[in-house]
Amino acid sequence: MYRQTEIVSDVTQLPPLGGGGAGYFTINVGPQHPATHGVLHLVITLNGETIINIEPHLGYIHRSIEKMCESLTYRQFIYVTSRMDYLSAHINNHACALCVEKGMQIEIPARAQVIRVLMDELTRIASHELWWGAMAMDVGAFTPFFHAFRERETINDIMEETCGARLTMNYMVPGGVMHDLHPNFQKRVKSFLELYKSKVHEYDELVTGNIIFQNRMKGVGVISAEDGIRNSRRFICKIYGAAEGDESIYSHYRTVN
Amino acid sequence: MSNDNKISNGSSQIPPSGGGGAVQTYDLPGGGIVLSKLDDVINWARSNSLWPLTFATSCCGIEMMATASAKYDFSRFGFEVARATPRQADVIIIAGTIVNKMAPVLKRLYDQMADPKYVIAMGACAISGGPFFYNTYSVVKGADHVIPVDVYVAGCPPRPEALLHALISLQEKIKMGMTREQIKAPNP
Amino acid sequence: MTNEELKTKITELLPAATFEEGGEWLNINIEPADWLSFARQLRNDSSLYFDYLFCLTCIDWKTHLTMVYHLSSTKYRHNIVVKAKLDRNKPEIETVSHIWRTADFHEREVYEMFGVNFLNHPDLRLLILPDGWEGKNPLRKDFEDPVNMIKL
Repeated sequence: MYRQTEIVSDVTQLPPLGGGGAGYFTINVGPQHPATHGVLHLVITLNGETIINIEPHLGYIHRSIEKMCESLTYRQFIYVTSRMDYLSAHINNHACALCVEKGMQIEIPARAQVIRVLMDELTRIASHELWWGAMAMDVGAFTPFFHAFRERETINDIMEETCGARLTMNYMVPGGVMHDLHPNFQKRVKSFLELYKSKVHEYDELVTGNIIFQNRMKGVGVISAEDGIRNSRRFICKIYGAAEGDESIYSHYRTVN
Repeated sequence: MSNDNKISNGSSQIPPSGGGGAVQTYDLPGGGIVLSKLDDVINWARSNSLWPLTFATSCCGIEMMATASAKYDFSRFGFEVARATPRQADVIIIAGTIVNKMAPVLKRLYDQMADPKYVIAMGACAISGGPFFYNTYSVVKGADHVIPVDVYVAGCPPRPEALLHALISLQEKIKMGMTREQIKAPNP
Repeated sequence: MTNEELKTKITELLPAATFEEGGEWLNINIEPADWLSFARQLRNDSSLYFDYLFCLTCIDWKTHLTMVYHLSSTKYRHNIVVKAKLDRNKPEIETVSHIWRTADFHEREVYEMFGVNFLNHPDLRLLILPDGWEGKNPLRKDFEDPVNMIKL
């Protein structure tokens, strides 16, 4: 049982799950809930407006990919990895391909490495576009969502031209990439970057510089570095970056460049 | 209606927003009067205000969000009010894989929706299990094992245009006064 | 610390441990009975300080199961892999969820997928699979499900 507690320091003092206990009540959030952005199911115990206990239920989108992969070849399960984190399909393909290459001790061509990193970075921008658009939507502002998706669509178009798909690309394969970049790629990426640079200050005005947004966000859900390491999830990257000046995370990119 | 009445032929016009031509209007001397069957008016109104439920389980949900956003913008066709509660929604777009654990939840959401309600299965997973058909122990092989589906959209994930096409086809069928059984039939 | 230094240090801590070389990270094979005290040492020793458990999984070899723990130190940046061989018919190992809290969920997942029993785990029950899947372990190689599974 996962207990995230702010005001109760001794977990044994918590009421039993399923309600009970004076002043506490238990509510269900999800699995169909607009704020979960997916199918997370949380049983939350509240004391007034303070959350004192969360019990997550997972597996509402457990598609048994591991079991499928037992009967697929390495080349075949690349397409499944695209669908694991569909916002960063390239990065999943990349990780899977790297794993196979490392096991087989294959060196891939420098051009393919550069293409992979370019694609990863574009994917990362697109993924973050969705993140901040949806984030602003969750706190009640709908407009940033449209701004974010406008730029995201530009990246999707670039992807579509080279990979043939907007979302689940299956572009990186063990040994390199599926095929070469589209001739328009360079031109379009450059024009996208111009466009994007001109828009960033707009996002800052609209969302991150917005006093309402800041008031909603600051000091909410603070996780200490120690807790972050102990609970070890994706945000560990941030902690790593903070601890040692971004050295190891970007070393891969540096060798490629 | 317009003021330059055509008395001579008593012509019937299809209003620009009608599309399917289910609502018949007649220009009369003096103007400003529309005669139609009440059913046609109701179907017309219903078809142009289909409110989808925000139900997204996986990849197709992202394409559904893209359809809702600036470039594709399904609010042009009357779907803009995506509702988070099934009690206010008219159409459920099953965007993503349905697994055995999620199936009872989907059924319950469907039961909570008020009639008339429609279902669109978006993407290969919702149609048949798609890429997760073989060798999986947890995926439902098609959402129509759980709830009745009216429109199927192929793709993995479908393009936003494909989803728009599905939504507009559904609209047209509703405008023509079809019942759910007729909508689901292969050759209506 | 380099892999060689880690090897020397760990041999001091646990003489019974055997090592596998050749990979990027040092692989350590231990007996399941030694795991709890060894894990405490890995976490608390000031020169090792493995404070980050970034992967906990299990492998079914058909003849036996292997628990695999990937550990990292955010302070010294060294990584190791600890492996423990378990009996396939009665797999049991001590929990480490009180040492690395992230192990809590990972162990629940391994419990339902492979049927490994984690001794003294505070809340060992199904995490991902729906109710009624107790005792069925889908990631075992001999798992069969004629109802849900369509074999290719």
